[in-house]
Amino acid sequence: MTPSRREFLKGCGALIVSFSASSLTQLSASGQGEFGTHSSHIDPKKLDSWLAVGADGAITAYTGKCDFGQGIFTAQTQLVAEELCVSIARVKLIQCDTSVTPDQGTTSGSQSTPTNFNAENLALAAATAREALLSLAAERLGEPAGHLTLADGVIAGKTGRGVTYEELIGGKHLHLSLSITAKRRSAAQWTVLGKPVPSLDRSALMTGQFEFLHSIRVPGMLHGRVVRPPEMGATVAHVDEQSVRHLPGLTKVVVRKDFVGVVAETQYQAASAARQLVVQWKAGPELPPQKNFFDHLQKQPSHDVLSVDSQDVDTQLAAASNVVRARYTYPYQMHASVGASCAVADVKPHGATVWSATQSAYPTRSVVAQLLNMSPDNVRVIYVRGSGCYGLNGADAVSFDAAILSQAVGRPVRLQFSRQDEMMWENFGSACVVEHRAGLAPDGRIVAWDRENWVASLGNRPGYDQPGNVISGMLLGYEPEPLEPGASKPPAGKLRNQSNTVPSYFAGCIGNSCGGGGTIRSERALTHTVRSPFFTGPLRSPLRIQNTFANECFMDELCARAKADPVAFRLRHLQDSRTIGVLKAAAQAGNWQARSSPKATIAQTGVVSGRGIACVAYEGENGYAAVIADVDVNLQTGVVHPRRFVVALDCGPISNPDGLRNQIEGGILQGMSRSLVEEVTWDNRHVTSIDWKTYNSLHLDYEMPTVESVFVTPADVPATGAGETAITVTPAAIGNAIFDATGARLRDLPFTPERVQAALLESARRVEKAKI
Amino acid sequence: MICPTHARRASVFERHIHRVGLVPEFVHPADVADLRRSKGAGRPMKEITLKVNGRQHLLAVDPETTLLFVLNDELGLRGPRFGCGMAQCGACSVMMRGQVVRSCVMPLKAVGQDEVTTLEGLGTPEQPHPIQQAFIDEGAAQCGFCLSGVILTAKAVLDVKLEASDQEIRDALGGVLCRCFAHTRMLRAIRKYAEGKKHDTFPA
Repeated sequence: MTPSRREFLKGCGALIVSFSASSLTQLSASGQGEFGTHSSHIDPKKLDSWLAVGADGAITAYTGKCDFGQGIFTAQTQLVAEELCVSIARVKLIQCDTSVTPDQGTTSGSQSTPTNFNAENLALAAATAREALLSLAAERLGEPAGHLTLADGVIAGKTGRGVTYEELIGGKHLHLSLSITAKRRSAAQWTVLGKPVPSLDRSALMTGQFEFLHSIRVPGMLHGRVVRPPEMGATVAHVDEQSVRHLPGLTKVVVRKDFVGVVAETQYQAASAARQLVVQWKAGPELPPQKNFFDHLQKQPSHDVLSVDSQDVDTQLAAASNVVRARYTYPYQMHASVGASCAVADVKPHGATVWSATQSAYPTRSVVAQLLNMSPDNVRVIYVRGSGCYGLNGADAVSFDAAILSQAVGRPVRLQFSRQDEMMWENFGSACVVEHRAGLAPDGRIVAWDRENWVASLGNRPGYDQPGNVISGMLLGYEPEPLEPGASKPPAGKLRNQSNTVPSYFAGCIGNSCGGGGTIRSERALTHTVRSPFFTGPLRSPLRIQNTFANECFMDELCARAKADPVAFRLRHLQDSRTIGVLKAAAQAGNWQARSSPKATIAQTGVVSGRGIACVAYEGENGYAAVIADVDVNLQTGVVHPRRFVVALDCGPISNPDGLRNQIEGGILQGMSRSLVEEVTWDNRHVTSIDWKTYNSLHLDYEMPTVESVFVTPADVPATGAGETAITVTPAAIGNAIFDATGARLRDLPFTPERVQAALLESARRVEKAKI
Repeated sequence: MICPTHARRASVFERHIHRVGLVPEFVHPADVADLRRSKGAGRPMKEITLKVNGRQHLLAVDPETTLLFVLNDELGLRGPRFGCGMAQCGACSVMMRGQVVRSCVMPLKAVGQDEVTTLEGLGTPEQPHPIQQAFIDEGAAQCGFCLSGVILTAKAVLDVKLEASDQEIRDALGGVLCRCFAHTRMLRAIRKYAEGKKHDTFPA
C-alpha cells in the first residue's frame, strides 16, 4: 500500500533548504516508547514527519497523540499555531494514522503533554519549522534573521518587504532534521497557547455532526458481532452453525479456536445471529468468592517488588511509642464507556486497513498484523474517536476482532460490541489491598512507615506483540504476558514511583539517592503482584488511585492519632516544594481552618458535615494536586453526599486553562462516582456487572457538588500531565471528610451506605468502649 | 484497498442517504431490553415511509428492526449512537411527538407516521439551536458521545415546563449517562438555555 503522506506532497520537487546544517543535530526522540525499536517509515527525527506547509499556506501537523475528549487535539493545534505564529484556523492536525503520523506509542498515562509540549517531538518540530522558515526568509529578503518579524504566516523584514510561508516552501518538503537548538516561544510570548481556546470539536459535537468511529461506513461493508464465552476460561466445545443457517443476510459464522463471531449484511441481522447461534462451551474454572476475595488475593503466589527498603522499619516500629495499623481495599472497577466499542476493518489478501478508537495506533497495527499473519507495513490503522475510554476499554479488542472477521469474509466488516461484550470482557482496573504499619514518636512525628500491597493483574495493553493481554488474543490462543512469582530484589537505582506506591511522605532513599517527596527515612514499600481471575488494565490513574486512596487515608489516620491538623501534619512530613505548593494553595483557596479530625462535636442523628484533604505527586513527578472535599453524611441512611471540592493543581505551563478545568471537573466527579458506587461484581462463575443496572455509575440526576480549581505554576518547569491528578486524590479526600464528619474510618471502596452504616456502628462501639 | 487520505476522507465516507431497497429481510430486533426474547426468523421486508428531521424517506426494511440502526445505517445520521442497546444510557435518544425515545429499542414499526427528530435536526454548526449554542458556549462535553440523550432530554423537559427547577431537570435526566462526567457544565448549559428562553432572547 502507498502511504498517503507521499501523495500529500506528490508532484512537488524536493527542495533542499540552504539552512545552517551545523545547528541541526540528530535527536534521539524519547517520550513514550522507543521510536527506534519499532521501525516506521515516518522518521520522527525528520521535520517533514511532523509538519507540512501546503501550497495554500495551510499548516498540516502530524501527531501520534490523539484526542478521546480530553482536549489534546485543540491543545496541540494551539501549540503548532503558537510556534508558527499563525491562527488556529490555518492549522490542520492529523492524529494517529500509521500511514502519516509518527509512532508515538500509546496516548496514555498523562504523557501527551510532557511528550509533545516540552522540548521534543511536536513542540520541537514546530519550533524547528519556525526557525527554518525565518532562515529561508532571511535569504529570500536579503536581511539577517534577527531583523525579521513573524505574524500570521508572513515574515517581514525591516525594509517593509514580506514573504509568506507558502511562497517560501508551500507544497514542498523541508528536508530537515529536528533541531535540538530550536527555541520554543516562551510562555510570556504566547498569544494562542495558554489561552482558553474553545475546544475545536464543540459545534460539530453539539449538533450531532461529529464523525465518531461509530459513524464510519465504508463501501461494501458487512456487519459483525462476536459471541463471547459465558465465563473466563471457558472454551468452545461445539458451534452449531445450523442454528443460524436459516437466517437471512447471514454471511458467515467465524470460528477460530475459542473466538466465535458472525458476519451478516446488516447490524440487525448480525446481532440477531449472534444471539441465536448455539455454542456449547466447556466450563472455565470456578471464581474465588467475591466475599473474601481480598483475603484470597493475599494468599496467592506473587511477583514481588520492593520500591524502597531502609531495612530498619521493624526495629523502629518496635521502639515507637505509638503504632498504627490499617488495611485498605480497592475493588475492580470498569472503564465502562458509554458507547460499546466498535471498529471497521477492511482486510484484503495483501493488506489491511483498520479504523479504530485505540489509544495505540502503531501497537495495534503490529498486533493486527500478527493476528492476520501479515507484515505490519501492510497494515494501516487509522484512529477515529470513539466513546470516551479512560484507558483500555474494548477499543483494542474490537479492532482485533473486526480484522479477524474481515479476513474471514474477505470484505470490510464493521464490528459493534454489545454492552455485555464490552463490560464482561474489558480489562478492569485492578483490585488492590494495601496494609500499612506506622510508628509515631511522642511528639507526633512519623518515625517509620511500612507498607505492603497486593495487586490483582492479568494482561494489560497488548503493546506491539501481546495479543493475549486482552480477551480477543486469549480466545485466539495467545497467552497474557506471564507473571513470574518470585521474591523481590533489593531496590536499586533511582526511586521509581510511577504507580504512587510510595507515599509522598517517604524520603524514598535507595543508597544515597533520595527520590521521595517526604522526610520519613525509616521506610519500606513492598508490592505483590498476583494473577487476577479477570483481565486488568490501565483504567484512568491505574494503581495510582488505588495506592493514593490507601496512602492518603492512612496519613489521615496517623494525623488523627497525633491529634494534629491534617494540612500541618502533611507539611511536617513533606519536602517536595511542588507538593507543598499545591497543599498550601488548596488550603488557602478552600479557607482551611486548622484543627484535628474528627470534629470535636458530632451530632447523633441527621446529616453531618465534614471536610477532608488529600494530595499527591502524580507518578512521583508528573503533576501535583491537592483537593479538599466537603461532604454530608446521613447518619441514618449512611448516604454520603459530597457538596464541594476545592482543587489546587500544578502541571507546569498550562496549554489551555478551559480544557484543564474541564479535565479537573470530570476527573473529580468521575473519582466521586468511583468512590461512592462503582464496583465490579461476580458470582462463582461469571462477571455479573454486565450493564448499567448491574454496574453503577452516577447518572445525570445526581446533584453534583461544585468543583473550584486554582492553578499553581512555578517558573521554569516543564509541562506535566494533568488529566489524572485530580481523580487520583478524590477517593482519599472523600474518605477523610467522612471521618472528619463522623469519626468513622472507611477503608473499603466504594463507600456504600451499608459500609458507612457499618463503620458508624463500629465507631460508636469504639467510643462507648473508650468511655468504659 | 481503500486507503483514503485524510483530505479525501469525507467523500469516501459520504453518508448514504436513501439507500432504498438495498437491505434484504430483517430478522427480529437486536439488543432489546429483554435479551432472551426470541421471535421467529425471516420477517418480510416492507416498504416503510419514515419522516426524519423534516424529510420523508422511503425505506425497504423489516418493520421489526430498531429505529437506531435505520437512522445510522440507512440514513447516515451521526447524532443518535449505539451505547447499550438496552435503553439504559440515552446515547441513542431521538425525539418523537415532543417526547424523548430510545431509538435502540424502538422497532421501526412503532414509529408510524410520527416525525423523528435527531440531534442534527435541531440545528447545524452554522445555525445551532439555542440549547446547542448554550452547550457550545459552556463547552459542556468531553468525548460528547452521550450528547443526544443530554441535549434532547433537557430540551424536552424545558419545552413542557420552562420554569422547571434544577431538581426537575435532573430528575428528567435520570436515565442519561455521561461517563466523562461533564455534568456540571451540562447543567450550567441547560440552565443558561432555560434563562435565555425565559427572557425571550432567542429568536422563535
